[in-house]
Amino acid sequence: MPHRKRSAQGLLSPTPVKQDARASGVDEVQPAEHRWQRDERTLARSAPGLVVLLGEAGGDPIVLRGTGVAVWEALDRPQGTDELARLAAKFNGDLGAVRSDIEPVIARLGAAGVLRATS
Amino acid sequence: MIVASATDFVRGVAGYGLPGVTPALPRAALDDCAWETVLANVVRHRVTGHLVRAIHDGTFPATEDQQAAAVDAHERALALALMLERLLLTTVAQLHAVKVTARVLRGPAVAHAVYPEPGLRSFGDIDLLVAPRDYDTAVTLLCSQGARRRYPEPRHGFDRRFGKGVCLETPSGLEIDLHRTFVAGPFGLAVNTDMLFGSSTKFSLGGQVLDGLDPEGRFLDACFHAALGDEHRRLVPLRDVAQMTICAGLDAARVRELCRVWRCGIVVQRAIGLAWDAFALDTTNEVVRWAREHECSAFERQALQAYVGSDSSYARQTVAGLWALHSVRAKVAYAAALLVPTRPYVRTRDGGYGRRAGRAVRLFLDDRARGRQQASGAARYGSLRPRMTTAVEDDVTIRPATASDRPSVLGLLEASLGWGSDECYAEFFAWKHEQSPFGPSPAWVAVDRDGGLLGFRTFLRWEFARGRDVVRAARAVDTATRPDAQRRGIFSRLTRTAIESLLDENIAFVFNTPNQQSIAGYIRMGWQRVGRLPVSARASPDGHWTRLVGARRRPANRWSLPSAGGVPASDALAARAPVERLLTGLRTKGLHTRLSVEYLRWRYGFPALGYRIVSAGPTVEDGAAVFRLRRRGRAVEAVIADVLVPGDERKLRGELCRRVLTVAGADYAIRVGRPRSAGGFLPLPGQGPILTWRALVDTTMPTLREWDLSLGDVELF
Repeated sequence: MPHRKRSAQGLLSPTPVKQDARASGVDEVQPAEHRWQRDERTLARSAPGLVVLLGEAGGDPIVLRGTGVAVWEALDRPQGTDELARLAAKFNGDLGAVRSDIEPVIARLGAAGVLRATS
Repeated sequence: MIVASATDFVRGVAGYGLPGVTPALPRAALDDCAWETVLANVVRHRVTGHLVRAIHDGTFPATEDQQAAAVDAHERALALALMLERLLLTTVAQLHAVKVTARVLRGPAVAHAVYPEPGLRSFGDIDLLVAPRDYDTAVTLLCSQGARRRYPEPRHGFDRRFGKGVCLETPSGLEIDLHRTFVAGPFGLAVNTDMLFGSSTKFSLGGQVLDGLDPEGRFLDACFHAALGDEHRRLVPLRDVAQMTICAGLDAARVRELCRVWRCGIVVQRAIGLAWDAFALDTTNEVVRWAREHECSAFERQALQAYVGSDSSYARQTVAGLWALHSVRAKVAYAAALLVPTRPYVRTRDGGYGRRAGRAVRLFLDDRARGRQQASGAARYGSLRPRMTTAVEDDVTIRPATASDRPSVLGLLEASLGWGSDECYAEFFAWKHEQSPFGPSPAWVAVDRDGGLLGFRTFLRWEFARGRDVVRAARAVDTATRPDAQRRGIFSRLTRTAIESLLDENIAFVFNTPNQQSIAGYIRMGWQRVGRLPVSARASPDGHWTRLVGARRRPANRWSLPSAGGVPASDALAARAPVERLLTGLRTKGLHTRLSVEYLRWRYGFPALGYRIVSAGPTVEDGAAVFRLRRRGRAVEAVIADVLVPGDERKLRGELCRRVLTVAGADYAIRVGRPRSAGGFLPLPGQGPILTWRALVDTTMPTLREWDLSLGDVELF
């Protein structure tokens, strides 16, 4: 099969990571075990309402929209999960729900090499 | 007349954010059809970042769905850019490991060093410039990592000495263009790239620091990219040129010096001219002033021809490269490699050595002939003249025509084409350009500094059918230049602007039947001569057929004479069902006008043209001939515009033509068409209009035999 130049449309299936924090409830937040920061090797592009990320390991780019953009911007310095949840809750309310939404997202970004854990 | 087209909006988007630019953007959200056209072209031109930014700023009104579609399209562009940048980082690291010196060109380097946000500059591959001494090492290394050359090398060492570079396809399907120089051909050979490795602009990417060209080198690379690309070029390189010229704080003295050494001032002149035209810029600085005033050498003009002339091609650029080489030894090595390349290369490119040699000799002889023309002072560079030269000398602006231009356009057509000043001409103009079922005609005007009209150009939309395929075309029709503004390149500039817009609309080709005065100008701009359409005539038994002889060289009147023969076409076509049945029964061949009830009603419905129809039965269903009478000299001529016969019955066709002659009261009848349906008509050799064609999306010209045109398809337009 001949090699063909991949088009943007055919090449990619970016996975949106939605940040839809819903509930409030600051006193329910548990202390975070890790603090997270952007990995400097991450490639990123932003546009209004949108951030696209690609970790050093490659794979499919990750797309953040809405609250996720604010979370990414905050990660230019180390942040704990609860700090990020509070930030996200400013947009969408229920802190407890936001936190439970954010944890897997952060874990996924960490696994993709986009974030690195700091002490 | 169209006020602003999708093309204008795409250009408006591509120029969005440039200082001093008021972009042409819609005032309200576009309808679905227009939006889809704009978005498709924004994606093609890789300017989704500017579109998303303009929508976000509220400058480009859009519905929620449109905004979402724009963001989705941009998201894909950003994702591709990141994957390419990851490939770039890997590749640079591999090259660095074997001490190969490289500079990042174009996409990523420009995105990070020139634009306020990297996301505004999308790209589809990565470009790396490698020092000639390291070139072979770099290619070998990348191929050992799984990359594949798209074309083999003509001969060992050719790429390192003479080539532009190699396009490498990686296992992931992404492309790396590994450059030895900026472009193929004479300009590329004239560039001493060693000068580009003494300095650099550093930028950070993924935690690494990469080297791009210094600002002036980067600017010249952008100019090569923008000025020497084909006519399908994207707007991105033009935006790069504008962005760097205006915002990058270029050292004009260094730009001048590089242009002098590399003999490429004309490239900068053309690139700035194209960019200034595309974005309607009026910004001036030292670089712009120098480009305007630059006097191009014979080498520059001749070299440019190989890239942007009507017969430009990669092969021509390669042959033209001989001029740029200084030593006889280098010329011999270059020519030998190209004339007798390796067998794999020939197999890929030409199929065989004989065919390749013949092609090379033809190109070389053409090239020499062109060189002699130039040396003798015959400046034949109308189509190559950088637009800005004209724009600057004359302060001419090319822009889409608007409704408010119409009175002055009609005045210009009156002064230049002999149109009358009565209301009939205004109605004729509206009929032709606003009421066509194929859509309103895109039109452009050239205006002077005070807004005075200098020139006008419009293309009539036309649709052909070929089998079941619909072919969207455009015919070059009314164009005029104010008499005192002629010989200033206005016709060429208007036409080129129009061609670019039509390309953006995915129009297949342009065709027309120019007169003897204008055909040469079209040929210079890339038109090709298809051939002379066959015309035949038959004398009326009651008419003065001898007048046919005298009338042959006389122009015909535009408007029709009254006739009592047949019935008015508008009446015959009023009932839809019989017309539909007639069209269903037609047996069409070749490339023919896409017939419909709407088309026939429009084409033969303008009252002043007085078309009439003779039918084979009580309605047109059984067959019909459309005709009108006009005066040509002393003769009265029956123009048989169309003969529509179910099943293409030759006998009935001939019978209808004879009936036209019987009822029309003409001295003779003429028609265009193939001999198959002659019906007693005799050919008039050398009398038919010359059909010309210009490639747009379609690049293969149909031969004369493949067209099936009637006189109704070509008269009046």
